Amino acid sequence: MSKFLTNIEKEWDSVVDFPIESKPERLAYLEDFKQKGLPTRRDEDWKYTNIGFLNKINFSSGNGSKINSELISGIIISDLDVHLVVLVNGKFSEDLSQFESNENLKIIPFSKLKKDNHRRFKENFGKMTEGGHRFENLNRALFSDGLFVELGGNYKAEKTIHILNIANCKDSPVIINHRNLIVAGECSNVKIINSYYSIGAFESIFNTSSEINLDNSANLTYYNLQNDDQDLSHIFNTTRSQLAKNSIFSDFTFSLGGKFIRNELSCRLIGEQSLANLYGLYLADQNSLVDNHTFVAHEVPNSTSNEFYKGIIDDRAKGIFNGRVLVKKDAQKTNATQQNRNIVLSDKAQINTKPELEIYADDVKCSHGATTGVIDQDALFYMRQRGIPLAKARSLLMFTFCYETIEKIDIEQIKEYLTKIIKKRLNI
Amino acid sequence: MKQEQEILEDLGSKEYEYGFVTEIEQEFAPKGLSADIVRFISNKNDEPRWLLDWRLEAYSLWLEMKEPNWAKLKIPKIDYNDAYYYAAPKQEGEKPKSLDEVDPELLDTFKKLGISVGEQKRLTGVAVDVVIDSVSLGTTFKETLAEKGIIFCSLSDAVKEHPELVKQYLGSVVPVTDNFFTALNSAVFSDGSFCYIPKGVRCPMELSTYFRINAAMTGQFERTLIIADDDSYVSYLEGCTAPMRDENQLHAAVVEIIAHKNADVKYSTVQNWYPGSKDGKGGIFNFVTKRGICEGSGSKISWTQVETGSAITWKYPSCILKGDYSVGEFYSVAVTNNFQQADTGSKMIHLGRNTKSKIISKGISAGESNNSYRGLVHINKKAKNARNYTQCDSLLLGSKCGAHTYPYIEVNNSSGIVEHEATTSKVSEDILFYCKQRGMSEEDAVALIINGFAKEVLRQMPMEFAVEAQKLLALSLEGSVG
Repeated sequence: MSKFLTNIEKEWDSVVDFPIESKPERLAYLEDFKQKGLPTRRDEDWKYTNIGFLNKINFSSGNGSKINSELISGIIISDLDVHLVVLVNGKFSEDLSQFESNENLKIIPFSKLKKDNHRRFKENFGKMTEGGHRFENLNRALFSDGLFVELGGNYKAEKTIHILNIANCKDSPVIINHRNLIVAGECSNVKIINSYYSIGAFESIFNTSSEINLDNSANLTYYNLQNDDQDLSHIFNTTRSQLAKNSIFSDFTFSLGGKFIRNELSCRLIGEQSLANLYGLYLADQNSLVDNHTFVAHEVPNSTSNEFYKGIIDDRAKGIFNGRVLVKKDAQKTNATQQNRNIVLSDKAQINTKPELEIYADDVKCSHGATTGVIDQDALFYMRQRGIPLAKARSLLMFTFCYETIEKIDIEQIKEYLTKIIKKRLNI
Repeated sequence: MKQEQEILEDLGSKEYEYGFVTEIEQEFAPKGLSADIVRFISNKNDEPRWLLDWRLEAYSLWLEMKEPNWAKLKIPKIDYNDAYYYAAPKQEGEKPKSLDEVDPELLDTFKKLGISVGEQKRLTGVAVDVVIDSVSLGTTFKETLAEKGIIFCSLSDAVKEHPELVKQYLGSVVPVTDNFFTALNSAVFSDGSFCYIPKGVRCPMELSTYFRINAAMTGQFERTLIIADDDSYVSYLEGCTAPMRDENQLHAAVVEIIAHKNADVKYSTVQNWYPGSKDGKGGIFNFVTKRGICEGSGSKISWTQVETGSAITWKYPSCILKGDYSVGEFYSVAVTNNFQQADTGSKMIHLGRNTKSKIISKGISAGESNNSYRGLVHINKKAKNARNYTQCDSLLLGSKCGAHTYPYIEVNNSSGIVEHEATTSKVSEDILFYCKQRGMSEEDAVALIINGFAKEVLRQMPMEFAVEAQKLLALSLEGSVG
């Protein structure tokens, strides 16, 4: 048995019964994971991504020492008024969190949830991840806590919800299996931030699995902010969404820091006139790896998806983009676009992209484009001619490259927060 | 004017034009595949020892290999022991010395196919090597070419007359173990074409091979080997047809091209194997490995293909751009109708500095067919300033067909520039309306639009072929588009 599986077995011993799902109910998922084992590069979905490191980290779910509440203020986005939900090592932290939960906006950690009291929870929990991939099954077997968010019909949340995942790895490497279930009722409107932060000198492994359900005409924006430790943080982040009629789902994935990041995002458009916007930006340097897998399924007529992923790869880093668009037989009048643009800065860096289209309906408009290249030499020349030094000109051009994604964000504070991080990275 | 519905109903009513069988006496190897059959084929061709050993090794390697299953194709189980691996038109005594001695029945076959071997000799100035089932029938213009030092003959002749060239290059671009079908081909290939262009020679005419499967229950396994020495140029054409039969027949060919310094090779294919009936019965399984290597600097290999036939096509003509400043090109029109399946595309492997490649792929799907583009652009660490441009467009006719795109793009340095673009749509209603407004029938308008869609690729073909390809395109889609 591989070391990873041995560690997982140990983890399983510490799994406790949850009111929402008992341990025996979760056993099947563990068995499934054990049977399939870790994916290798022979699996098409992992062709470019090596996860051998999982066998080298001696992790546990760990408890760790207490987190100082002052630290939190340094991590969160300043000036942004949010419902803050903090999870430390995958468990809800009452002391650090600050939010209000009511009938219209339920924010309830799984550990405090009585399943029979919440119809929407019962209807949706685990539905989308059923039959999912290996890390989703691992999550289902081992999740230590999770967050249930429900928006009532016509409710427009004024405050953004911020889910902050903290890994406390001061004493030993940790693995965190955490779940989210978000249900947006009819005509509701909400913005949610999901971010990661590791504290300590040991490795962290996050394995997040989120399910997002949008009812008719709901509008949900989901920000994934990944700006964690360059040497220690490993993120597996799977998001599955389902869009009913007229609903709008926008996902922003910013992968700016982390030794290993694998994002898997899937959108099923199952209601007519639904719209999915997927935006991504990744900056990878040193020895890091950023892997974005997206899947958009158009299952009914008249739906639209826009996908726009950009990245800059430097040093010995590796970038992977795999975008799949599926248009089912009945999904006539589908409009799907996909763009992936990359800049490679170093001869030791690598980018592998695979934009896929799979189309079974004839009356559709689908396109994808992928480019990999260098900084525009003409623009560089123009700037230098006007007295801007080479290094600065390069940085400025790269910043504008990144800003194309940032400017699509509709919360000013997040824009500023990200601008600051990116400017620092580019030495502006 | 025909309404769209009627047009669609007509779809597939068009019979395969080349589906006749020529009644000639045939000679077969015993059915099935074994080391003895490999020996039998080798013996028939009167091959030297080294080639037999090479075949036998390929056979033993093949036994351990598995069929590839990653393509988006539904391939029925193939029983490799239920086919003949060698079939040849029977002939008394010696091989015909010239085409005048060839069985007139056979020449008729080619006349019916529009390839009148004799006429071609006089009129069009295309040198043709004709391969029926397993054996090369004869090569035209051999003498004219020999004057320039060009060797153009069947592979079996080349083995006898130029063993050093064959030995050096056979299997050098497509290794025996490249995949399941190349190993099979290496073991049982019966014949094929061989072409060598010496240094500094510009081949004065198009070289052409015409492949035809005639016998039932046979597989066709031919190999083509093209070597272009320094500063030479050659344009090579390949065409194929087969009779209509209910069973599936296997065609697993290998094409290897070696382009030395500043050589320029252009390889064009019009593939029109029997695609199967309109209910998806029968047809050829076309599993072909084509690969060229730009060995020297400044060399160029250009693949052009029009794929209209075969029940299943599995084919990825590739270029290994090893020499600095070498160029690889791939132009393809793939048409699938009824129950045809195609998984085709190109691989461009950039190894040398300042290498360039271009992929233009046009897919047209109709009926209940599935048409996939699968391609790889790989830029090696050392391939400084490599450049690739890829464009794949798909056109869907009818709501039961599928069009898919799977491009793999791997960039491993900071100076490579790769662009990939793909679109999928149906025939634009606006353009259709515009044409109809000007008095064209719907069928004519669609035909015009399809032609325009494929123009970029057809333009790359030699004159003789472009005309044939254009006709074929219209025929393959007759009923569905006009």
